[in-house]
Amino acid sequence: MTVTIADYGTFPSAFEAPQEHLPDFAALFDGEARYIVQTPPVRNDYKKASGSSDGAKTYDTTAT
Amino acid sequence: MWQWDGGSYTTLDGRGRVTPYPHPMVEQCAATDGARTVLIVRERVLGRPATPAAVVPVHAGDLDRIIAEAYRWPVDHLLIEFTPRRPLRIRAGAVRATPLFLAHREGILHGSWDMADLRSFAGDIAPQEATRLLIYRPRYSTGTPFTGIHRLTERATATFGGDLVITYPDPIEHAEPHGLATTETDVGDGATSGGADVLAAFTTGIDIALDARPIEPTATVCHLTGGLDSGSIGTRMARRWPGQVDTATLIVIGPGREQQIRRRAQMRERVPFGSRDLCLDTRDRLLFGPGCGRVRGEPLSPYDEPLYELFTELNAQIAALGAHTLVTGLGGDEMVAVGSAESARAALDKAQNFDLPWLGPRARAAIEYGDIGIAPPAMAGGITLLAAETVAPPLLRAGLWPVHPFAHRALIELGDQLPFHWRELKQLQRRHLATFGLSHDACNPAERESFAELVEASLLINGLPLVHRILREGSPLIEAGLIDPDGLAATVAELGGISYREDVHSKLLEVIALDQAARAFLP
Repeated sequence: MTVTIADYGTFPSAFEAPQEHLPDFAALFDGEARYIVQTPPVRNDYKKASGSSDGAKTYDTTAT
Repeated sequence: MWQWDGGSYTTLDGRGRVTPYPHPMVEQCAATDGARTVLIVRERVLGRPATPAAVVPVHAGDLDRIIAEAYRWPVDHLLIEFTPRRPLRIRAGAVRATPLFLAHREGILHGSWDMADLRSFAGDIAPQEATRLLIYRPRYSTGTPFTGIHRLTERATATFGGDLVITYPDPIEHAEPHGLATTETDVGDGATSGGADVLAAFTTGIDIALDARPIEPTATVCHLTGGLDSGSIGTRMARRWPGQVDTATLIVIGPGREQQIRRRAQMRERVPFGSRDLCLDTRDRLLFGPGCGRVRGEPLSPYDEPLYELFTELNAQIAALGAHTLVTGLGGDEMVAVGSAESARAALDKAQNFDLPWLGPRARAAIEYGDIGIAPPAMAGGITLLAAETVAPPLLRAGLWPVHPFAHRALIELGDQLPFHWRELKQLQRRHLATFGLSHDACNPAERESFAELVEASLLINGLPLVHRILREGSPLIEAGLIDPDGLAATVAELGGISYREDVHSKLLEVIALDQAARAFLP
């Protein structure tokens, strides 16, 4: 079967992105948030120093 | 012109081919206005049937809207845009469930989630990324340890036609931590009243993350490692889908072993997980043994985990249960990361010593340039993205699709704003677990449950012979000036006489993995 433009007529819904469902946390916090651009160390942060306590650090452990 | 042949999009002349990963969580669609063609491969979303793959003819104006809609797709996606007589463009989504590595030769662009597929394009060692790996200071970027192979990072656009240029997007802005609206009252044992809203928000965030994709509970296994992150996600899944979600883990060795077994048993006893629990015991399963693909010279990506072999085995067991999706706790650390400015302990933990005796002159010189050319801030942290892209290939080879709820925007934005005392020592996850009636021991493990002991034993027994081989036979890393053989030899000699130091000696893992990858990838 050949699909033609006429079969759709309107914008094909398969390509429409769904509305992203996001929670509203505004009531949880006091005042309005201040937004920043994270520095390289922050945006590539990890909880521990270097070393390999859990392989490539991609596994969930109880280390704190 | 592009057409769908049932498994791939192909051009009529046979020169173009795009093959989506076939999986129930993935769909593909395409549209053309007769000149331009757009191919989209994306994760499916909840509540929609899978989209037909056939190339749909549309008006030219609609094609622009299709591209705009593709940019808004809330889960992982890839958009490929072909225009006659113009360079092609590939754009990745903001959520990366899988990596995409790119390489080109003779006017043809090649891409794969499996770096080994691009082995023939590796030209030489790229010192900047290789150094990041050797000192274990990972940075999310388009670089790989090999020239000629590139990573398409989140929201980045690859433009190819004659040459390949990858362009980073604008940075994502993140909220800073700030106070809660309600006043919390200390009610003892570290708990506070008034904190219920935070826990409710956490639960809401997990649910939204889980509901972003059409998860089939009976075809889904969750990691339940004993860790607070996978525990937080797994327990919520079990509460939502009682008796349906099976669990899997590797069992550690060392002081945390008995505690891990005990705590997991309690979680599974008190929370309605599925009946099946896969536990792969790492005792007597040292890394770099004779069954290790790296040792056998297989082209394993240098990003593959040291525990690659064990995870591959566990993944096969998960798939054998009939599952096609794996949910992890990956990203939980980053969600509640504590900054150095917030905590002296965090600052101490993050203090890094790059003065490794085996680093060669080129690596030492490259250290200070490690942040040059890295990706801008994304919604998920760089480590979360790298980790997600690292764990994906072994899962995909087993037919498993990875889902990482902590990488979802709902949880990231919550974690960004939480005040310090909710993030310190993962209080969020600990208190969340306590709501399931778990014991203090289950929510607050005294021992570290970690692979540190497995890594130590593996390095001392199987790793040192591999290092000796590097010293005896040479290595591309030595030739590239990244490893100093004298320093490496001194370290090996030290290890025979002094105690193993986890913070220093565990980084020998990186030397071994990168050496093995360089031998396998480079011409």
